[in-house]
Amino acid sequence: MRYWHNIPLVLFTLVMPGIVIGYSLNYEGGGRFLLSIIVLSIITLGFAGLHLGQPAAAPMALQHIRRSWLSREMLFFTLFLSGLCLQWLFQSLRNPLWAVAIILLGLAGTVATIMVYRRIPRMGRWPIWSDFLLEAWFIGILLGKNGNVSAVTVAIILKSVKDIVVSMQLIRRDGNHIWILPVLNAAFFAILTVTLKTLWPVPLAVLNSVIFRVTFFTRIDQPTLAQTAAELRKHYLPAEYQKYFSIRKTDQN
Amino acid sequence: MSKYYWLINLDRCVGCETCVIACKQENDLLTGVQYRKLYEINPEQYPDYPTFRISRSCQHCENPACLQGCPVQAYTQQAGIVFHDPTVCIGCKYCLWVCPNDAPQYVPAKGKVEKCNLCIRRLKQGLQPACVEACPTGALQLLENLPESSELLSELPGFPAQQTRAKVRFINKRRPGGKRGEKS
Repeated sequence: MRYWHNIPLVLFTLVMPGIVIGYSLNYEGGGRFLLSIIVLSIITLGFAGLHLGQPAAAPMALQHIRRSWLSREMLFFTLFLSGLCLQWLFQSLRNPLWAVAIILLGLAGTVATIMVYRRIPRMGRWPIWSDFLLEAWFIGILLGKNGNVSAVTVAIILKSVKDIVVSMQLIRRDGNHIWILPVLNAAFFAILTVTLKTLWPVPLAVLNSVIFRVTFFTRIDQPTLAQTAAELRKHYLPAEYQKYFSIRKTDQN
Repeated sequence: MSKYYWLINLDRCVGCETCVIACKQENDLLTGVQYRKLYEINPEQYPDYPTFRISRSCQHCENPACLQGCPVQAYTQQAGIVFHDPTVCIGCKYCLWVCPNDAPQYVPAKGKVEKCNLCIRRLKQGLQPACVEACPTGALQLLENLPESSELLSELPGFPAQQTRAKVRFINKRRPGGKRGEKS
């Protein structure tokens, strides 16, 4: 599959914002919880570094904070992780004030992540804000409140609402009715969870999140000239002939 | 700032891809790496409708998205040319995503991005870029200063480069709904 190289970013964009929300829901969770999210953050950030062509040079990405959202994203999440580590090391920092500061850094990192992808021209129609933020809440509740059955039930329902909202926006913006499938899927999850009072959809819902995000990154890798071809067809061709026309890029030499 | 403009004559391009090959030879590119690509719209040449061939490479935009988004400041802009410094590139591929012209190319073998530098070495010798010199029909030209001309189009419908103010102009005299080859 030609999009395997984006899997580190799929996990990063799902897990890191979820860690921020999970921590904010359970910032008094104690040393064990703190250690677990620190380890998860380190694994996620490290795995995301594998996306780079030069992973060892990752710290250089902090050079352009003035204009680059990618630099800002790295800065805020690095500070977020540092704050968590300091809080785990020093008992005196386990107070609401420090927790708020860490949460704000994490939220800033999440916003920076959204802005990184929002500036990509071909993603202009994807409802990035609702997709990323609602997905963060779903993952965050699973991480922060995983012992609370009611909270996890709410998380699955929230996930279903997010899938429905995002899919309906995509149908409206893209005109592509294939997005009705996640809507039906989400409705199925929500109904099962509420009526049967079971949590078995959780792994499937997480898998659904991964697939959704893979679709997002699949679109990022598409060439931009597809839009030009569509506009030129509209401009020069009668509607009934437009479906016969295609665009071809030269094969790589 | 604005000095060099690409001029693409859509009526003259025959899709020979000589510009693509000349660029690869000049820059000694690896297999799978192309600074310049040719896009054919209506390659089947369905009768009565025009076939568009657009030769695209880096447009050296006035407001380049790659320069703004790069986290290591690998991009600089001098004399209207956007340069990429591969020595500082970390291969994050963000420039590939934000570029509306698909100009930067990620080279897996090197773990870095590369792109067209307008054959700066040739320009300094008073020569045209390799792609321009190789074009047999004169469909691809490099203008040093933009002339006043009503036949130069700053945009094609849907051409995704206007937010970055791409330095490209088109000549396209075929009218909507006209027969292939007919000009207005």
